[in-house]
Amino acid sequence: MFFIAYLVHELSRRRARTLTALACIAIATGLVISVTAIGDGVNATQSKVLTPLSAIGADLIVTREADPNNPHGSTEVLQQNAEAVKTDLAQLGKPGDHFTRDFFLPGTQLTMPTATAQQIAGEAGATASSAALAMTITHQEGTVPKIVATFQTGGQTINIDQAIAPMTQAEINATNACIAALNGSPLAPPPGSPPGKTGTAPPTPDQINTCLPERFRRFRATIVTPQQTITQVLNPPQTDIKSNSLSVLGIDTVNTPGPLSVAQISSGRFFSADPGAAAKEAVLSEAYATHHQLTLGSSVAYNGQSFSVVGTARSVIGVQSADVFLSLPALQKLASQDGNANVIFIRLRQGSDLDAAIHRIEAAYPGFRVTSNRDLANRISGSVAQAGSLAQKGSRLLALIVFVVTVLFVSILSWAGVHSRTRELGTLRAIGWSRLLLVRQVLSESLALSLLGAVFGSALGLVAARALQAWLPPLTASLATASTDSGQFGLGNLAPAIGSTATLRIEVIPNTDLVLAAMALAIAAGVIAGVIGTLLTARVQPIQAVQRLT
Amino acid sequence: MSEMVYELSAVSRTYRTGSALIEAVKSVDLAIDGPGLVVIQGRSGSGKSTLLQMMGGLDRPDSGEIRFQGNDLARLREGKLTQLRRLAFGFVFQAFNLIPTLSAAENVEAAAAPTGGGSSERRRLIARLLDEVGLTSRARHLPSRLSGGEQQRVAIARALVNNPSVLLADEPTGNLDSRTSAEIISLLSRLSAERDLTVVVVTHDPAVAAQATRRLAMEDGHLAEIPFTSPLAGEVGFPSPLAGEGDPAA
Ligand SMILES: Nc1ncnc2c1ncn2[C@@H]1O[C@H](COP(=O)(O)OP(=O)(O)OP(=O)(O)O)[C@@H](O)[C@H]1O
Ligand SMILES: [Mg+2]
Repeated sequence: MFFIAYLVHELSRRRARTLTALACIAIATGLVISVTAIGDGVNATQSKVLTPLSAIGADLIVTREADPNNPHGSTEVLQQNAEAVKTDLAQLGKPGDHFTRDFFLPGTQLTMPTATAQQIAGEAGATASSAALAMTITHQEGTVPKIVATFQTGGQTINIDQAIAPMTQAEINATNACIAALNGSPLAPPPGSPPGKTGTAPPTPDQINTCLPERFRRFRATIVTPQQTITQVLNPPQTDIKSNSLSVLGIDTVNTPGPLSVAQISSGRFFSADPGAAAKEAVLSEAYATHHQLTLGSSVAYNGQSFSVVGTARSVIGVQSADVFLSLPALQKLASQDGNANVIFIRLRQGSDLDAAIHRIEAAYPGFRVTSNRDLANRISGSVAQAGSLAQKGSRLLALIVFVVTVLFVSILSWAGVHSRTRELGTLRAIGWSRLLLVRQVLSESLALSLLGAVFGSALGLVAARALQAWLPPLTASLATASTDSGQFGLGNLAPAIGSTATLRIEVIPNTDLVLAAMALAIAAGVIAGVIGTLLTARVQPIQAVQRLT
Repeated sequence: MSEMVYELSAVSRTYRTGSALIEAVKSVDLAIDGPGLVVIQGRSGSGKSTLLQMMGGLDRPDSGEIRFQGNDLARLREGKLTQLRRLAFGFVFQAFNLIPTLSAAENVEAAAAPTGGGSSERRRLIARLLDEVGLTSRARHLPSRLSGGEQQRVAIARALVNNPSVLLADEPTGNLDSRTSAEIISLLSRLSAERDLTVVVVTHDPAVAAQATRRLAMEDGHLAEIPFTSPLAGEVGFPSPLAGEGDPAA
């Protein structure tokens, strides 16, 4: 086809002009792609951070607060919870034996029966919900302590003051007789009796005592309490026990939303679909797995119960994470929390009123706390909080400026190109080309240029985006955890292994829509430039084939 | 008389440059009744080119009529005029006016392409035309690699590709040396004879005039016939346009 051959020759044989226009369009396209991708990336990172619950597909999270002022029995529940922690150290083994032991602490997030969780979800008007159990495991390891101490008791002197029955006449007589025998004076001489013999020594009191009835003699003895050894359990035991804590979340492995979404899995897989198999599996947070050098296929054990590691997971800032994820039934059993949970994840019907749902729950279930994206977003600070929409707007503006400059530049190129070809175009008119044909030719040159520029530019943009991805500094996000909110759902005190500041890589991966949009802009620039050139082309007269350029 | 190729009556063309008015062609009457090599001579600025351009449909007169194949080129609408330029006229320029980015063959094709038609058939026609002007070996060369004479042959092939009835050439040898000029002139003369073509050539070249079947002289916008009986234009009543260039008959 002649017209195409002409177009190709025109572009390939006027190399300098073609390359200039091509470079201009390609650079512009690349700039639009990479700049917009950065803006979008920053914004996406921000909105992801500011809507942490969206990452797990939840709208609301419900927890139960430990509030001593709350009359609804939270203290009783706390006590109940505390029961779970009581451990009989005697069960650990004989003193001196090595032991490991995991204690399960529910922290300040009070547990509730999973049935309550379901009722709350129903009250909120949830389309989907799940309950999870967040606990802290305190792992202790060491030598079984000598958990007893010995006390000596007894040895005290006891004084007894008691009225003793008076002697009977018979006893008096007997006593007198005895004393008389000892050559002593009688206690009470019988009337009319002759004075006793004088000159003999009187009997000693001890001798007299032996004459007293048995009853009087015994009570004069000193009473000494018996000595006794008492063993008592020490609290707390003084030991060499090493203790460390980790957070664990028992999650519903079947229903969503929950604190661990499939999307967060960074290696390995999510829990098995079969609850029986899932009960023997564990997913670890990336940080925990790395720190403890645990890999897929490793296993973790708590109180002798072993779980195989099937996956590792990224954490979403703002969403409660844990070092270890287990299935809810498995953790309930381990922690003696059968049928209990302490976090409810709720997804509402699309377009339903969030505030109304929060209000309904809080009204119907006092002592329960409802957390939404809004609450979490208000507590997030750091570079990401400022960057987002501004970056996106800025990048859009920059892209627009790039586009306008490109249109101007390629329009000037196009105009100059047509102008310098006036004689050639006039010649074509002179040899019988219609105005339409000539315009079509010049316009298709512009279009072909912009199409080529768009293709090269897209490649350039993708490469640039990749380079920028590596070069851009990461954003930071911090989640404020007020001390009064210690139990609030979030990265609170229940996630000791996870910091509350996260650095987030900006994803500068341009999506297909963006690339197509940038290509459309490049082509639009080509069309506009082509039309500018065309306006001039349409005015070319056949006579200009023979006129000198003015 | 209905067989007339051209009938010009009272054709005038005035250029307006700023406040100045230049009457380049003044009420020219001309009739061309059939094939042949018509030569228009005259001084520089006498209006030869202006007249030829109007005859070729590149420009329109301000007044008068140019009748061609039943149409008045002065009033013909643009589309029809374009069609005539494409199919009825072949134009050869002093500066050759080839498209610099197209090869010799492609330059010829540039004139043929707007008419449509099968491309293989067209290609054969182009090959034959290039052969006819003696350029078979140069078909793929760009104009910049061709000599002036070769370029003008390409231009002539291009002018002929749609099999026109008229070939208009404005000083086709103006940029060529005398030997090459002679070749071009004999080519034009041969074509006019072989193809029953009306060839109108504007030239200063006495060698061209010698080959003419009819000679016209342009003088200050007026056109006059130069009778064959006299080699001198001066004999028709105004100074000879060839006076300064020597008399070929002398
Ligand atoms: N486009 C134009 N605008 C203004 N004046 C013009 C234009 N074209 C030609 N003229 C003037 O018209 C007159 C005739 O010009 P034209 O080119 O027809 O002469 P010519 O006989 O072909 O001369 P040459 O032999 O030098 O080619 C000249 O005075 C010229 O300056
Ligand atoms: Mg001229």
